[in-house]
Amino acid sequence: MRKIAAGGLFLFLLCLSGSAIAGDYHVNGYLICSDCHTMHYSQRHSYSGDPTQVVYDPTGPFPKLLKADVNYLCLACHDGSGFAPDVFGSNTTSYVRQAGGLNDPTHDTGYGTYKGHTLSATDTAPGGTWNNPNGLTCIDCHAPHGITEQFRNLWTSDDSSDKFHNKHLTYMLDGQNDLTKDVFIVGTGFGLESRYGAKSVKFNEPDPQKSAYASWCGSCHENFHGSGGDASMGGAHGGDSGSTPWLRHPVADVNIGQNLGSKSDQPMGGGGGGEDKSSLTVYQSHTNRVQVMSQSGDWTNGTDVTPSCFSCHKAHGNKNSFGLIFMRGTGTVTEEGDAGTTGAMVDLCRQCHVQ
Amino acid sequence: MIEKLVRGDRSRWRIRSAVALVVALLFVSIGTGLLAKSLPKIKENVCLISYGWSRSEKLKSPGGVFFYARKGEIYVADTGNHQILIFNEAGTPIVRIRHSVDGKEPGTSRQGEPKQVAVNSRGDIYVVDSLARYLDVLDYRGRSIERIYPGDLLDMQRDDVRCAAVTVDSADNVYIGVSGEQSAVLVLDRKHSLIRRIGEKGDGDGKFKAITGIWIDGAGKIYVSDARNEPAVQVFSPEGKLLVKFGVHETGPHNFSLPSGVVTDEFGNIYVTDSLRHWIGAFTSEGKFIIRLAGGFGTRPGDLSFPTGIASDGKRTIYTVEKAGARLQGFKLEITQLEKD
Repeated sequence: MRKIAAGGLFLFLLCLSGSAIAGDYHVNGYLICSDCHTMHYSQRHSYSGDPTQVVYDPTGPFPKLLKADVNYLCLACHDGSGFAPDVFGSNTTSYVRQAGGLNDPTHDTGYGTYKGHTLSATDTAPGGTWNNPNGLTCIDCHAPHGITEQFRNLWTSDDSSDKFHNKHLTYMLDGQNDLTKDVFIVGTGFGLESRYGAKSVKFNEPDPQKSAYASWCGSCHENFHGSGGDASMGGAHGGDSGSTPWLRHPVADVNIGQNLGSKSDQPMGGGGGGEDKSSLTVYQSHTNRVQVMSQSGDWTNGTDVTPSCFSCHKAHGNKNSFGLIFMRGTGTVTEEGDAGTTGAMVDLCRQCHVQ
Repeated sequence: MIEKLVRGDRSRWRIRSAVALVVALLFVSIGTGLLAKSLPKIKENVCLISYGWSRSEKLKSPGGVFFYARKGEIYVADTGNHQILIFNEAGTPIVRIRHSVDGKEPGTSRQGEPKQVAVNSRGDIYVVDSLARYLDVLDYRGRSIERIYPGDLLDMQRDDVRCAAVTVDSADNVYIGVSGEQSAVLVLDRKHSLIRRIGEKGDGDGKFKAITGIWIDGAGKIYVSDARNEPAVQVFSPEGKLLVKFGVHETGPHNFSLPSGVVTDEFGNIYVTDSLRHWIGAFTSEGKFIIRLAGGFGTRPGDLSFPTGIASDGKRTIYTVEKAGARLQGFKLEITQLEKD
């Protein structure tokens, strides 16, 4: 018994004294357990024994032994601090954030609650059934202690009852791509832009019939992802052959301009037909393009590029409804796209379609 | 016979143990007494609490606070409301200045998110805004009269560096904490010419990674808090020589999780806010921990909820703003100092 107690004490002290063994983005970072956790939520004197009263928020204790509301803990560093990725509301960085910014109704700077993911929202995820009855938190999506092999520490689980069961989203870093991984972070070094800037992130397509990214989003937004032929998606493997129309916009399993059947890659009409199809020619004609997956790793000239969730939406959100990216094709690219907040849906659709 | 010997040994052992214990206690008490004498005693009393401009317009995620000694006013960077709020010493809001920054398109502007503020003797207001790459200089009416780009001062691209902190000394010299591709404290004279650069980006002594606060004491010493560098707090001579350093990112009251600002009192005691520990730590001028002055996570007077900034009158009053607590608090210090530094 004593050995067990001593072992427990040792582990506890180790936890208190050493750096937290966190995941990829936290492991080399700057966290210790007590930054976020407290053991009993009952401290009544200082470490040195001074009886100065230590008060905890009466709304606590908080789940998982946290010292405070989890979102506030995360945002203490991740909201405009300058030294950690800024994920909330206004972009305080000098680069376009890959994921954009979470809703920020408190700051009234254009990030309304219908423009992306909303912390503390209890709503059911669109296209799905999941919700957090206590309100959406950062750790509903991200593993705070990290999962080294997961892009952005996004959750995955071996537990078959978990919504993130086998939702692997692997990645490579520092300019060394691996086409068997799902994401390629092109940027090198530890600068925030090289890790979190939109220009620094590319998407591979290890399985041409699936998107690991879309599958991950589908953990909550179930109906919005899948392969061609899935009940929720419609279509067919490789696209829509004519008799199997898509029910929802594909997020995998069809390359832009692929499987046009008898129709040519001429969505402009004018004899070629194919008005309801996408066009690789059109997509590649733009200077500014939405992001796509590529099986070959050639996002510029490749003929195997496929749209997915991130093509149209910022994961966290932006100043456009649903976090949409209105990209006309030229001009200065912002998190809202090059059309900014004055753009329209058609600016996005015409990245690949010109009906 | 053997039993008697054992009993005799035991009694001798007990006597020796008792003597050793008494001696040890004596040393401990003397040591504790010396320690107690070497450290000032500090107590705080909450003297001011303000929640913002009005009941209907409360502070939103305030980022910084500055005490303007000349007028006894407290300036708060009310980040979420895109404004600078000015309070009198009683905590009554008297003026608010909306802050705008350049828009994405030339010639346009947008609401700013002021993060830190400082004021010189003329009443010019220096604003660090999260959405701007320049230090905005406003006149006392809040009109922008000059922009200082740290990128220009460092001969770098403007987008590569940003203002992270600002303060002003009694001679109106301006101190800008710079973060980004480069990190340093830039010292500008009252006409905003660069006269000194202190430190560079990196780990360790005399370097910076994420400056969160700057304070200048009456002797011109420069105090810098840094969220990521170790040491977390560094004190420099006016010429930029490192004098004192303390604190790492580790457990213990003498260390920090997220130091967000630093000031001193008239004795030279140092006060550091910690956003994640929700307290103000008091340290001697040598960086020795004295006491956790205020805080503990909460919303009652004296509690703190994610404090993001600290200011001082340089004497015995300090002020804090809290991001989540969304309020301004003032603390009167009762300081028992053996002798003034």
